[in-house]
Amino acid sequence: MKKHVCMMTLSIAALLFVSTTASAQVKHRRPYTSGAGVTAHYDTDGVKGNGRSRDYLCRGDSYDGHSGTDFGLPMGSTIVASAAGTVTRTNNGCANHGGLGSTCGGYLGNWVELSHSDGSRTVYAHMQLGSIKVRTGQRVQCGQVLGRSASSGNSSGPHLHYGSRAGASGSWSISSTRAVYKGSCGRSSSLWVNQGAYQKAPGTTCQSQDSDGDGKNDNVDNCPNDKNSGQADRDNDGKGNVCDNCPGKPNSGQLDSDGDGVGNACDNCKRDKNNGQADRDDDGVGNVCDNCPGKANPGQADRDKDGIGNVCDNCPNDKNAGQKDDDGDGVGNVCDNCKNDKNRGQKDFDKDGKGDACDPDDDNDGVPDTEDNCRFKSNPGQLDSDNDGRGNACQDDDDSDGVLDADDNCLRTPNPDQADSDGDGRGDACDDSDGDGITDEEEVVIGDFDQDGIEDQSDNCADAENMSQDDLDGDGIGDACDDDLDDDGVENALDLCPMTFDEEQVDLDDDGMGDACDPDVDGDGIENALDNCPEVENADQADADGDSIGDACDEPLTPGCGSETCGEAGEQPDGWELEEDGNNATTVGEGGCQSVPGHGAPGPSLPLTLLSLLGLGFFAKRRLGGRQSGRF
Amino acid sequence: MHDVMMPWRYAATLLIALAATACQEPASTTTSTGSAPETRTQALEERDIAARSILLDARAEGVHGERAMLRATPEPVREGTDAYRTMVLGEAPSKLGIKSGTRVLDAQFVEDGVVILGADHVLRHHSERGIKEIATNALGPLSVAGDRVAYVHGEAPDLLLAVADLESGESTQIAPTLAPVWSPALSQDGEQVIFVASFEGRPHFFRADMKGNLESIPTGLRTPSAPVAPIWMGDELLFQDERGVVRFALETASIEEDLIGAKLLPEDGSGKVRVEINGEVRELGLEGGAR
Repeated sequence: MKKHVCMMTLSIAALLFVSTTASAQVKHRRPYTSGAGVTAHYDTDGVKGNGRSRDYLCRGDSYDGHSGTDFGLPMGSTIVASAAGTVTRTNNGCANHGGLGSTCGGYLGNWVELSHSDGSRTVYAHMQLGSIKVRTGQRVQCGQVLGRSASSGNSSGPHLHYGSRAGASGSWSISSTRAVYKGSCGRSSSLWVNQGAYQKAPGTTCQSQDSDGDGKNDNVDNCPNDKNSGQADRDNDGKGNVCDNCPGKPNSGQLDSDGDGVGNACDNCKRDKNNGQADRDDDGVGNVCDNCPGKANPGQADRDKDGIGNVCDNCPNDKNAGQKDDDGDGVGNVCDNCKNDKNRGQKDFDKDGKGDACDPDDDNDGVPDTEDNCRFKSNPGQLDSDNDGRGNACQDDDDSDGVLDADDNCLRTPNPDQADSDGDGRGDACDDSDGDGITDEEEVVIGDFDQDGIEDQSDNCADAENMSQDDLDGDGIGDACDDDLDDDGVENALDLCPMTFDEEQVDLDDDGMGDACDPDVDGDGIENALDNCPEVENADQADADGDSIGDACDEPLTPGCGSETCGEAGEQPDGWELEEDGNNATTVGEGGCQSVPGHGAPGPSLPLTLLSLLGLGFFAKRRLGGRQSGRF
Repeated sequence: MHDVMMPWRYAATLLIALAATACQEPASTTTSTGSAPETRTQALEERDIAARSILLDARAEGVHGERAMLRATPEPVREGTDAYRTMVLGEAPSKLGIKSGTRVLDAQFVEDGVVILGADHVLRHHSERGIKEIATNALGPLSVAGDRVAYVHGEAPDLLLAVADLESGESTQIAPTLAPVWSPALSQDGEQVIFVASFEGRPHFFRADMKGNLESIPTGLRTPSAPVAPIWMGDELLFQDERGVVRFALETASIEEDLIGAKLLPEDGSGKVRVEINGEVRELGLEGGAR
């Protein structure tokens, strides 16, 4: 119980401390850089329209109802924030010399209004047209340039009207505003850090203030607007963790090109807002900028530069951002050799550019596929010795006698027993039984059916012209009529590498070319022999540790790294590379060390004003709630 | 370097000309008023005041039938400050209870009398029925149409627009969420008003009626800012800014006529719209419009 009471007391004390420090009165510096003095003080009699005025020393250096202090700045003098704050409103669009009675900008011409940490506001009026350097919602530091001076709006000559009021609500009326000077008719304590002599310029020293009330003055606080009394700064970049947009990687400049609150140094989409940093395929590139968000491709290779990464581009070599694919076979129209017939493999036996799926004569032998007795071998003669409907060109046993052609001593005469009584190598069934010098078979069949100059008996492909007699796999069947050129057990028509022995038929990049014969297995545009990571798509060939093994497939240096404590300052292993973060050379945290800040630091969310609404609905009439009557 | 301790406080009278630049009537049209001076010095002073006085408004036939004028002399203002442009009323219909020497920000004739915006920022209606307070904390320039007066009120820059019905004595607040608002111009029938508001940090035209309908209208680079109210005539707005007088086509947001260096002159009783260019008065061939 005693412990609870103690804790409660401490909590209340802490709250009181916070509330008092957070609302500590803001003091101000001179709101301009030149040495000009005062031309008219604030009217401290607090009444407008009584025809009288007095300044903070009860003298007459003011005018009736003056709700601020006028400083006689020459045209073009630099105007600065008198204290740190946030821009609440601006007006720009009034001519530089308004003259007396000018109504522009609500009589104040071009102006900037700031709110400060104690709830007070300041206004800087009669500024130069187009000189305002800040925008609504922007945080400004004490002494930061706001613009230049002029004589816009109701003004009898170049000067700065500087107003101050205690609260956010209310107006700039004489009753809502306040004197800033200490004096017999002014304040009991000055709101200037150094108020200076009568009618002279105030001092230029900014208040040493602690905006977030964490006990560290703003000028030494590594997060002046976020409470962090411990000042923890994991990456040692001068920005405390609680306000660092990349707390795991040094980035003192806090560059955040897309303004999503995540610094470029650890943003997985530097140019696209993605506060959540979602990365579905976990390839280090955020979904919103990933050219293939569903498939890991850290290098983002995009050979045809159509915005779709190679690994998910249905035409990786032909630009087709729309990815149109009429037949739905996974191959885009612009590169599909059969646009209207599904053929993911894109087989084209006769290499005529028309896929087999839509080619009426796949082997281009002049016999339509529908009539061809050997569809994938050119056999214009359609020889079919055993009349089984399959052309000899497609068979290993032309006469269907159970003896393969390579071993058959009578190719086209069935003789399962292979009897060869005279031992001349020709079976009796096709021997020269009549002794006329022409074998029985030759007497039936013309000697060189395919007219390639090689007698059928000696031709390793008697049905197809093949003078070269090439036989890649040495199986005795010429390539011209071999169904499986590389003898790997996969028919040519289905083989991802028809001329390379490749039983596994693996195709890593899904390009229709098997890895066994693909010169670029991962499809990243780098040939295997030159690729530092041949089996992982990494077009950038990044190799942080210089070991010739690309980062994309290199072993991580700190296994298990990824916890929030990983990558603490000074814990980086030796040998890590230096990387530019846009401002400084910094130590790289790898993999899990690139933790994404959960808090983010988006720009201030501005209230949606009625004016903004009007902006969306220009020229659209709007009801304002009817007539309001009465005196003001 | 600009010396702020220069005797500006003692040389303020030099700034009278500046104060009067916006709508000073040419010397050729000014008239001398008052009874015969008692001494030569007094006569010179009165002549000086007469020369410096400006016309605020005039009617060929005033409330009592005769030609009536509202004239005032601008008060001196320090250089490099932003005091309001106050004037001392000289000529005014005395039968309406208006005292010569009253300090004013603006004054205009209305159907049954005069509205005077005093230096105390109180808007008053002077008529044969008496003096009635219309609004406090008000600012000009006043735009008048019949018995309606448009004015802004509040504290710069947070000025809001209101239209007073002098008959009922009630004011209607227009677009209460838009601030700052300036330079209102009533339509001839007093049912609508065009004004400028700082929209997204820049001056922009809006049109509103007395029922609460509000619309944004096309805006060019020029908007009214002079201490004389713009004149709304049909599909045109005639106004003065720092560069001169502009005839602005409301539908196309285009400038029909740009009279550089010109000043928009107050009503002189003729009903004609007049401008002054290089010291010469020129009629624009336009008539009507609320003033």
